[in-house]
Amino acid sequence: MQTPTNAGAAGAQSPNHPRDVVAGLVNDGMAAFVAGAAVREAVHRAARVRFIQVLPVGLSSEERAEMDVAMFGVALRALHRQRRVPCTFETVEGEAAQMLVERSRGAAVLVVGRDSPDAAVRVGQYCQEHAACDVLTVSGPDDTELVPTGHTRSAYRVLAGDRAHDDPDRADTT
Amino acid sequence: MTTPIERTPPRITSVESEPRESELSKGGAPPTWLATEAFDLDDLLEDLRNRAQASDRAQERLAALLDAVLAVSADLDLSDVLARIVRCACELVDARYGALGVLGADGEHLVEFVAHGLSQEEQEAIGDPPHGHGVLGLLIRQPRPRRLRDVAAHPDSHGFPANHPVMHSFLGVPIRIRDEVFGNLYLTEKQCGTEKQGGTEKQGGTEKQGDADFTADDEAILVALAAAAGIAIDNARLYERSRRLRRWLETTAEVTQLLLEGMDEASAMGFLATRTRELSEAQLAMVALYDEVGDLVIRGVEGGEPSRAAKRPGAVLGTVLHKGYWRELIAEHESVLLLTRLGDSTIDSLSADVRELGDADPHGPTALVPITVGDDEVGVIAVAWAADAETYVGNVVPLLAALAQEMGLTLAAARGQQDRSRLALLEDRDRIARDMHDHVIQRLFATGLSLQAAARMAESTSVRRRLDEAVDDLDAAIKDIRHTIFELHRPTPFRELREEIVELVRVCAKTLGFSPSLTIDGSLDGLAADFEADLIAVVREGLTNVARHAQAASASVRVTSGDTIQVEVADDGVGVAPSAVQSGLANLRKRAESHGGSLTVRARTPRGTALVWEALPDRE
Repeated sequence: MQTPTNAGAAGAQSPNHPRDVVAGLVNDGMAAFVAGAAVREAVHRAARVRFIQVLPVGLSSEERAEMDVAMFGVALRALHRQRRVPCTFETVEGEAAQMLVERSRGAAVLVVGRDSPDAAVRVGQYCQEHAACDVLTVSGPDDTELVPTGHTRSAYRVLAGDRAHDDPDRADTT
Repeated sequence: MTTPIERTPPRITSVESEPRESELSKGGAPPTWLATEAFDLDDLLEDLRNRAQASDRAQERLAALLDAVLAVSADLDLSDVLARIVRCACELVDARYGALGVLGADGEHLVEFVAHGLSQEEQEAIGDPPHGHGVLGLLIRQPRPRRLRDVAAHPDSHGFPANHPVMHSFLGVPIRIRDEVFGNLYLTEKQCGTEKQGGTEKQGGTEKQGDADFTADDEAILVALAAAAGIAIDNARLYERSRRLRRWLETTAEVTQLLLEGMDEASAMGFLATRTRELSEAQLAMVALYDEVGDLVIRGVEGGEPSRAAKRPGAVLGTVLHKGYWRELIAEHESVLLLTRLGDSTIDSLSADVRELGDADPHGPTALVPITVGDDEVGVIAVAWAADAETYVGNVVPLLAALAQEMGLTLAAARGQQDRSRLALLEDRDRIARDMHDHVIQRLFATGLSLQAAARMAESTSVRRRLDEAVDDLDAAIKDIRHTIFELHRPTPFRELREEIVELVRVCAKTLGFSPSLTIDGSLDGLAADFEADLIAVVREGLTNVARHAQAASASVRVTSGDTIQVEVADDGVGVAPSAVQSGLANLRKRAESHGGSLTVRARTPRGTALVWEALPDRE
């Protein structure tokens, strides 16, 4: 759904616009929750939401188009009755965690699915450790956890009591 | 503009006639109890005089404030209201410079900045308006009145940009609309009055360098004005909203009327695209509808000046939108607002697909709104704005969604109307065929049998021969009637001719670069084949002439069927030159005359040409 113009750069940020909310959609079964949480964050921040789908390398054009449409549908359902929330749709190929960290540079928050305990690839953890923005992990419709920039989840848990009071951008967390 | 009421200072004649202290002391005599009394009385009178003057000034300012409130409420145009508020605020507190910053949806940044006191050249020399950093951001973060002796010395100050005039004294107050902070009023450089009252924020001992400080009275006056300004802005916004809503409803009614009056869908969608672009203040609007075989086909595009476009908007008419997300969008019944910005690392191809249909900027907001009726999927409206329209479009998308919903109902109603009239025609034909078969043919057949019997009984050879001939004629008549019945059960020629004209106009749109409007008024049922061919030729020749010679931006085709059939092809082009070769028109004239009609070509006002072909219909 998109054409990369230069690899690695983040979305345009103007001093006039709130920074973007990035929804990292990967094939982990949590795309709908991630999209929904990202839209809620975007509404809260009056920001744009960038739906970024990361696909594995080597898909045929038909498979890619099919995944594009599926991701578009997920995003549309998340945007239900939120007509004023601006958004973009991007599809990139590569290793999910690295691509999301790369693409979320300059964003306010990156929303990704929370790693399941037995996950082979820990996208959420990698993003929490390497993303330059806050990372919101999601594992259900109302199950979200925000890790501010520069803190891994475990470190955040220690800080959570203090951060909850002085982080005005903090989303509802569990 | 405010007009402060002129007031005459009150005179205290009896007090001013009393001898002054200096006069009492002239004689050098020691002050007596009388002199002491006079001294106290002078102080008292001076105090009274000061109080009277202060009261008078307060009344003057109150009157000026009321004038300002009236002034800011006197107009309902939002931009005028904002400019008036700033101007009145400057006049009320004698500020040299003033500005009103409007907050964006995020409540953190200024998206509009209305300045007063700076010329256009000075504003251009400064460059981009402030976005809400520095001291201006202080009011955004903490929306309460602020008075500063020297704005540049404040810890939050980021300094002034190049070419910005030096400013010292500062007064800022927020403007609220109900519970929402709409923006802030900023005033600088108080011009008159030197009184310095308490309450000015300390700034680390920095001395004031401007002409004067703003006072607590100034602050109170400005707070009061800001309250009135909030109401005026709210009224202006409500008025703007209702006016915009009325225009959208008018457009809905117009398209509905056109469709129900018989205009074909392609022309009506072209009109819809044009009006949608105008109302949305967008760069491009596109309407696509599902056709009979389920393809999503572009039926209307309006996208700026065709001469600037690499691909003329009309050239995309009839294009099928193949990509799957169009269908997904319509199937989900959800509108979406895409937003790409200059500098984005990726190009949203969905947005680009729309913007490339016309002459829109490569970046900016793009709205995609499905047209549906209940569970039925009808089509989609897409609108693309310029990059700087980002703050504006949020309010337009709900209006677009409402328009799309109305269009869904209108299209369903128009299609239902067409289906009903087609069904009524078919039923009528069926009834006629049945009556002819059941009644007319049976009677003729009976009559024929009777005549055959009579012929056998006839003794005269000539009578028998004539009866046989009559029976043969009846047989022939019965065969003709059976043929007619067969023809009546064939697919309706009315539909074929009508659709042929619609298709012809649609094809011509590609050549023209725009979609001509088409209206077919009345039934084209039962026309002779050669008349149908002539009618098609008139429409084709008329539109071809427009494409070749007229340099037109729009054209219309109207076919009116009554006692005569009239075809009018009109455009808004350059007109027909007297020296132009008119062989095509001569052919059309011959076709009209062969049907007892005529051809007229006349100039239109203010520009353009109308070709009117009229003939007596030959019916089968």
